[in-house]
Amino acid sequence: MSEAGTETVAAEAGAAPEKVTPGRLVLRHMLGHRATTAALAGIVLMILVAIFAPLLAPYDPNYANVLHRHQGPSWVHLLGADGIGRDTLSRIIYGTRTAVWTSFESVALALVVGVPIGLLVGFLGGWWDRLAMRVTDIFQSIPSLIFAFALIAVLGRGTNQTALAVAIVFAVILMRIARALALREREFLYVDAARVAGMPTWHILFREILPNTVGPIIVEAAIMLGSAIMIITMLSFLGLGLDATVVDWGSMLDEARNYQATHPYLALPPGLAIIFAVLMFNFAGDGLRDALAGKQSARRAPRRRKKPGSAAGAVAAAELPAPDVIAVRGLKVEFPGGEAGAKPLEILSDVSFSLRRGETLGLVGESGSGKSMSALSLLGLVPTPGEVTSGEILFGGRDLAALPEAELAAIRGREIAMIFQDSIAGFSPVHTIGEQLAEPLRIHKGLGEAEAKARVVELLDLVGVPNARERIDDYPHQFSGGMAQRASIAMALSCGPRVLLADEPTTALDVTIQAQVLDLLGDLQRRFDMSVLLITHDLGVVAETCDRVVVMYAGQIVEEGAVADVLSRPRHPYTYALLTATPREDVRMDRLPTVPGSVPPPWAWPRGCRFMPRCAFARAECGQGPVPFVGGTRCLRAGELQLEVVR
Amino acid sequence: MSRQPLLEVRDLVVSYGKGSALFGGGEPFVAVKGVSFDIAVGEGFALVGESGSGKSTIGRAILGLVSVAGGAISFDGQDIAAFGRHIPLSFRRNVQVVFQDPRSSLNPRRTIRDTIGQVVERHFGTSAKETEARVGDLLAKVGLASYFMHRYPGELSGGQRQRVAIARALATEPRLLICDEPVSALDVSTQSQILNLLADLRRDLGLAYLFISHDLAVVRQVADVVAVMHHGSIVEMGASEELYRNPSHAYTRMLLSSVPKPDPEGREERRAMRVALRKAVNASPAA
Amino acid sequence: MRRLILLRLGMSLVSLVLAAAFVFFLIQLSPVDPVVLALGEGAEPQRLDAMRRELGLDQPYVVQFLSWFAGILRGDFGTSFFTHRAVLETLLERLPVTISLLVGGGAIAIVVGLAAGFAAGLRPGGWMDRVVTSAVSLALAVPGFWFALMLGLLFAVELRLLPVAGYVAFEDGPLLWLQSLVLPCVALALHGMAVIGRHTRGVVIDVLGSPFIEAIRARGTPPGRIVRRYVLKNAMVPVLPVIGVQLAIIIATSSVMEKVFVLPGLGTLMVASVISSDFPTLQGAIVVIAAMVILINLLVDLGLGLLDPRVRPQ
Repeated sequence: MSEAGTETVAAEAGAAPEKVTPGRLVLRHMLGHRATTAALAGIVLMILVAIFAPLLAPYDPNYANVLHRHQGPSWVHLLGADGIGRDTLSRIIYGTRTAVWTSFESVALALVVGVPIGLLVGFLGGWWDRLAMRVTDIFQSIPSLIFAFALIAVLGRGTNQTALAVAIVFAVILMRIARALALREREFLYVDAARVAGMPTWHILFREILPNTVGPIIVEAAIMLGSAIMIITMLSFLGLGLDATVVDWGSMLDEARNYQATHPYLALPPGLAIIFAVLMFNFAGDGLRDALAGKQSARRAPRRRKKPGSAAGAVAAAELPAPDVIAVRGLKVEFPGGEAGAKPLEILSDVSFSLRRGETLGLVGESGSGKSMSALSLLGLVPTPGEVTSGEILFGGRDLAALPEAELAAIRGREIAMIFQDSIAGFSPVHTIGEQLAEPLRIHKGLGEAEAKARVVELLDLVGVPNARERIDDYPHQFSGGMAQRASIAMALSCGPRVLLADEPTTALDVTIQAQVLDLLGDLQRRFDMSVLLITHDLGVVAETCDRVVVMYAGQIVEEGAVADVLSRPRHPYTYALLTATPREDVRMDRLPTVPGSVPPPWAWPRGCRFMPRCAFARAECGQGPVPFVGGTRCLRAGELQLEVVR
Repeated sequence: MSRQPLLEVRDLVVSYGKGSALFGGGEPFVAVKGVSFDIAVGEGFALVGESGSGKSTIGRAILGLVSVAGGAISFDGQDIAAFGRHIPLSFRRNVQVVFQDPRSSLNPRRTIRDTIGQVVERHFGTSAKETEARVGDLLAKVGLASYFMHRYPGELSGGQRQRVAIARALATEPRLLICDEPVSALDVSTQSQILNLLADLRRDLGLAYLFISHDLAVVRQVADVVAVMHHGSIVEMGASEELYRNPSHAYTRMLLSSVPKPDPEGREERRAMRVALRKAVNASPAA
Repeated sequence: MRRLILLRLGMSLVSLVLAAAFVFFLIQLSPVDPVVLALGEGAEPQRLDAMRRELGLDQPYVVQFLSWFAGILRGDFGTSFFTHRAVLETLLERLPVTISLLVGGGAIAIVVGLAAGFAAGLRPGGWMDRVVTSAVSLALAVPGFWFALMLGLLFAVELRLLPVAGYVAFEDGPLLWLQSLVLPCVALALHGMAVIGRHTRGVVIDVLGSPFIEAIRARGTPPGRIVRRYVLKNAMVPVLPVIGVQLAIIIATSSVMEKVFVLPGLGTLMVASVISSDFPTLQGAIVVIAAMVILINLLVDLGLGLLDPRVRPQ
């Protein structure tokens, strides 16, 4: 109905991905993993052996042929015979039946009882939850096996009693897990949305929350099946377990123990059977867990990195034009493709810009444009498995892209410092602010503890942290976002760097705090004559603080120039679109100009101009091939377009 | 515009308990300290403020997601506090919500059809076939093709998810839509699409909005009346154009002067003014 | 920190009362009547009643619990139905073995587990990581008591390096005592080692990927210093509770090792009490074990308080 709507449909329909349900996706991930497939096959095999035990076993497992006592493996007894001449293979096969039956019985019971109670108390919270938690707290002090002893003392010995005891132990554990999952899910807004929509509690619990908890619970259940086998064989080894008439691996091991010195072979078959069973359940559980997390089976190792330490290249790069402090030339960053054998993804393509002495350069773009990656690559901090695969970063007579890690570490924090968006997360939570601020001073300047501490107090005063002397003993979580950002600025300045990289330094802050921090950064930049690279998505921030600006879109620079020019007479349609779509607090518009669609992901970048599908001025020739960066912009029609921003 | 109040909030107080009572935990934290305002039929009302100002808590109180410690909220003359824990469907139907984070507000394990369809079925008792048709209509209203019905939220972009969240809110045919930071998780280019969509829906369906946002630039585009919140209270309230042009409270002035403008001209003057206003607020005893 | 210690100490006492109450009332659910057990099926009702009165078993359960628990606080755990000895005496006899196993097995599990976890987690995907990950998967599937049998077979029966079974008290010869404990402790440590190793590996990988490590690298801190100063301390926070849980499991599974190596500890005592329905002994042993576990949990909590400022009460 609305125009804005129809444009988007047209633009977004093209990128329609293949339709897959989450469940199918998980199954595909699981089967894509060889160990998991093998484990599932192993479990099926055990179940089949359990069902068809009478057909598979060559003998009655309790038939004792005294003449064959302690016979080793032979054609008559493939796995030999035990101390009273019973066939070991038949006993292993019937033992499988017991193991499969008791483990499934106990885990199933535990699931039926523990999960609904856990979900309910977690979701309802309040008194019910506190009561349930006090009860489960008791089991924090009584280990499961000991609890099982007490239960067997009450229930008596026997196969079903043992399974029941194990089931009760597991039910308590599952209740805890289900409660924690419900508590986590309850925080998601979809639960609030369902309540606001008037959905009844049972619906929210079983239709909304349960489906999101099934995965982790199945993982636990799979691993519990293995633990059940372990605990039940342990109990039966101790003589607390199963009926004497039931054949099981634990009591086989108990018998084997008696002949340990003379017939050590007896302990092997039941032990290996237990290992096999537990291994299968654990692998299945782990595989399912990885599949739920969407993990791929081992990514390709990164291929060619730009050779580090090639001294010749580093020296040849020495000459920089006078005003430039850093010059980035033709930088390319790649990540390995998702599936094995896929082409690598290019996250940055041909990025070239320079940062001049004493200026503030804005690097602006939306999420996914590559602006943060550009800053990280300057310091050799591209997250693994990404790599700089070509290009140069010239700084102080060196090529940072070719420098070995140790030499980069000497530059980081001393010559080029960096601050991040989430300043609190940028501090180690278990060290005081003072200890952490002193770190660069101690590493780079070799200051002693007392000197460093005094300097830290001075620095915190400088950036406007009140009561600096007391606050150095505080931990990061005791700082507000604004104060933590001031502290990280203080740390960045501590070694007198020539360059400061600021990656969205104020995005997480409130608008009044943002203004304060930006004003502070401006003051310090002038005072210490630093060059600042300010990464932001906000053109307002650029206009308020920067001298020049570089605009990025989909891994490329699309425009570069003085702030006054770019923001009033943009030459690239993307800059223009971004400027007009940004709402302003000083003007009310009846309709905001829009950009159709959204920023494409790296695997869907167009071959020609990457903005073409969303561009109002696109022509057929725009899609024919990569567009070169000429005269400060990457647009074929730059010469003919008149893009004036009306204020 | 005749101010026939659809929603009346009087002296609202909301507080959160802190710590466990067992070991002598702290006093409760008062998030909203006696707030009053009205929203008329079809009106766009905005609460703006910084984090911790209590603006989102007010929205959650109106939706019955947090309990109210004092004051009254009435919708169409009916007192919401009187409902207690069980809020009637008739109220649910009239007041709906769009949350900030569309990633968290849609259930990742359910298709778009289930997410929207269950609301339709709950409120209108439709058959499966009717539900499907309604869901298709709702998706069309927010500018999505009907094949999106069979998608999961994980397959959608941020803007598309927010459109789905809006469609779900519209499913009950509400009269008041509470938008809690509906565009702050989105990129600029997507943000303007959603703002235009909300404006269109308001015009076409006669919806009233309670718009909760920290972004003064966004609020200006959508609100008729703006209330500025600070530390749990409304410090200034008035017609949007008037308030933006002539802010009277020192905090409002500082807030407005802190918003960065995408225009480098005159930035030094703005900066000087900002610093002066900051001093004024810090000096005033109210702040 | 002092507030934290007092708070946790108080909570530990509450936990002990709750655990004791739970065990006591659970055991009361048993259909076995101890008096009938003691006097035999055919005993006259008068004699049964007389004995019930004498033992206080005619009182309400709550009263019985209170007098039992008050006794424990005085050091009186009651008398065994079966041996007619004071329970405390038996427990004190058995405790050194259990504590030796806990300390030995726990130390091996912690040291080897942490070392393996760090070695693997610092270079995920490397050869060390692959070795550790495979060893952990296997160790988690091997039943501890079977591993114990195999160890005994190799080191005691075949190589004759260590005793097959039996316990020598420390007072009777420290070296013999140590020899009698080596195999049980190694076997006991197997699972805990694997769990601690696996968890540590995951935590180290998480910490290395956290934003503050990126920020610390951006400040030019050399890699070795990052690991020693920042990764180590941050990783211990989530690993410590896992160590606590594993120690509790080691106490419980020592019962199996006691059986394999014929060691007179609390575990075999409990098994025997379950079989003979000797409830005073069973209850007493469980309370002692619960007290040990609660002490471990207390130490873990205090350790966390030292490591992580966020859990300290403000």
